[in-house]
Amino acid sequence: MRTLPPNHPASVLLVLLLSLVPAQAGEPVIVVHPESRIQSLTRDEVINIFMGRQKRLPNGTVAMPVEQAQPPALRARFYQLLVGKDLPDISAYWARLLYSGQAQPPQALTAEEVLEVVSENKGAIGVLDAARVDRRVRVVHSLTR
Amino acid sequence: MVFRLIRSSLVRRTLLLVLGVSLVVGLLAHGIVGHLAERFETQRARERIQALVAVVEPSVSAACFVGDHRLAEETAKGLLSSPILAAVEIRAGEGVLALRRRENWTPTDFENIYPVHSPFFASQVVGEIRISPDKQEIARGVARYAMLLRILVLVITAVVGGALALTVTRSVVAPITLMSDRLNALDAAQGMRLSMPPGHAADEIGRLASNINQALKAVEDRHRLEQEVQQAHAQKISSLGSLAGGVAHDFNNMLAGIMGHADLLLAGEQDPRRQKRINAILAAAKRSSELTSKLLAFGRRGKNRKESVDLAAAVKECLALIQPSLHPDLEVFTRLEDGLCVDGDPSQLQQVLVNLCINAVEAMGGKGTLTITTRTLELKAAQATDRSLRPGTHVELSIADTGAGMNDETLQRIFEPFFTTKTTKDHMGTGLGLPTVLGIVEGHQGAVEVKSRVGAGTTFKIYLPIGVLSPERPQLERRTNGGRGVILVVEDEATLRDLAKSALESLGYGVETAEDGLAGVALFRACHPRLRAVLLDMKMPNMGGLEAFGQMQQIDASVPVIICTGYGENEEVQRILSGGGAGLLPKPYRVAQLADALEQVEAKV
Repeated sequence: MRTLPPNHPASVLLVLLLSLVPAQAGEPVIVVHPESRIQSLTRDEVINIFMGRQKRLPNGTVAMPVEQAQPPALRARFYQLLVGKDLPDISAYWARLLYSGQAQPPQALTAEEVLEVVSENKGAIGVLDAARVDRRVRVVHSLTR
Repeated sequence: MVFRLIRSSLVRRTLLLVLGVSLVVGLLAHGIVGHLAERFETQRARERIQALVAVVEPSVSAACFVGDHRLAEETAKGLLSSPILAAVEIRAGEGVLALRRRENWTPTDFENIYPVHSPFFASQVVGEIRISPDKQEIARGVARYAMLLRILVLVITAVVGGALALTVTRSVVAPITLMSDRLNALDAAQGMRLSMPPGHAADEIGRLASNINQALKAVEDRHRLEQEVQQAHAQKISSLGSLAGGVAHDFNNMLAGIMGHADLLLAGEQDPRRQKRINAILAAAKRSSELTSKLLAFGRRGKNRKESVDLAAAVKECLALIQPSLHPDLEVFTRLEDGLCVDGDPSQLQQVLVNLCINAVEAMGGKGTLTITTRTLELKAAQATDRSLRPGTHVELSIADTGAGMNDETLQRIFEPFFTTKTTKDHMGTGLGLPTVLGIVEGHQGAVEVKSRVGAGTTFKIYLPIGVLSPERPQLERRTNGGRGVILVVEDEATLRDLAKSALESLGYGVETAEDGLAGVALFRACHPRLRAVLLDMKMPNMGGLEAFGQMQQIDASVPVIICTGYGENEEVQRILSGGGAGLLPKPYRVAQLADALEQVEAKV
């Protein structure tokens, strides 16, 4: 089998085409502190907490929602799976609520920061790529399941 | 007044009709427009509210979803900035998130309730927006819209009405006005025909014009026929007049001879029996002379004098004259304009009045009303032509009775000489009364009009030109001196010449005679210094009176010339009298009348 040299034009074109294919979005899951008494959450409960309707977790603790902002595809997939809306719709929704100051959107963090915040606060609840889940957090809801 | 104005004009009636229709349409439109405006404005308000709700729905949805009071309040406040809303309430579940209302809003059930769905799931209702519209604002909108519609209806009605009125005016009124103007300006001499109004030859207007033309032709034919009949009648009367005048002239000459000689005989007669017979001859001759005067008057040759005659005074004089013959049951009513004068012969005009009054009295048979009126009348060209008069101011003398009246046949013949209906023993007519009236009136450039109906009475209307002469006329003093000097008698009739000679000699004058104008002028030339006066006949062979007078005037104008004629004051006599003639002696004359005429002439010299 003949292999193409790296500087061959065909090789360059192939590399370019592969770079245009988006990286596959991860699987967003909802994680809480490992010691939380919450074992699982329903989808409605997730919606209410992440869309500002519910300020406390089912166990009564003040909720502190955070989300993994990168990559954006993960975040888009999360909201598409959760409420069937695109990110601009979600941004417009929060823009209206921010005007009155009565509700705040989830804090946007890196995956590592999500892991740290959730592992350090019992009221914290985060959206995290399933691939990044480790022992510091516990998954209470998976949107794809 | 207004009604008459409207009735007199088709344009005004059309405009009034259009105005009436516009008013009715306006009133009907008033109600319909109000209803339409309300429906339209209510629907419009509903649509505006729906549009507002659609705009704020995402914010309200978010506010309801999270229970955000502040966002709900702000949204409600924003909604209320629209003037058509009176109150806005935003509810989430059972609780009220926000309520905004105007000061004048009183709590009532919200009329418009819109469900608010979840921002994420359309099937999930998370709240509702309740809205109360501002009815006052909507009512103001309705009023504005209704006003707009009414103005629109008014403008459309005015435009349509105006177009209708214009159409009617142009297509109906204008052609009719045109025809009316042309009818007014029609002149019989140019053929009384209407030309077709342009563009209307085939429609109703054209047919109207055509029918008018047919009617005009019929009128024209009838008018022509009437004129022909009138002309024939006038010709007949004129021929009879000429005949009567001619006969009267010759008869007058003969009567003059009879009377003159009878006078001379009477002067030298001592026997009472003979005197009586001669007087009988004179009386018969006098009556005959009266008859010839009437014939002359009918022949229009009897106009002897021309002076201002006061008609009111003449009527009063006439009534005084006939008063003795009036029956007690007969009423006389007069309405006479003061100071109305005509120029003419007073005795002839008196004769007209007396003739007509006596006829009227006799026609009433002792019971009824005799009405005599006078008035001035301005006759325009057409009216004057109809009566064979000249245009200008005229006097109308009307003598009306309530007697038996006349049928058409009688009416046609009343002016014929010797035609009479008076055949009873008491009222035997000569048939010369009305012909005399006609002759005198026409001799005065006047006209006679008669209207009569059997059983209802008869009205005679006399039209005479208003007088222009001064009413005063100096009267001559009469002297009764005996005759002296020489009188030249120019007369072709030997009998009359001899008679005049005898009469003048009996009065103490010397006399020269000539048998015609030519001989008369020659004699005048020879002896004019000796002449006291000339008696000049008018109608003579070789040289007539007019020419002879002219030549005598050239020879010696100081010698007075008395015209002696059986024709009365005709045109030639008028010319002589106005050209220096001393006087007129109508034939037949008595010796005393001859003496009077000479005395008057001497008095003038």
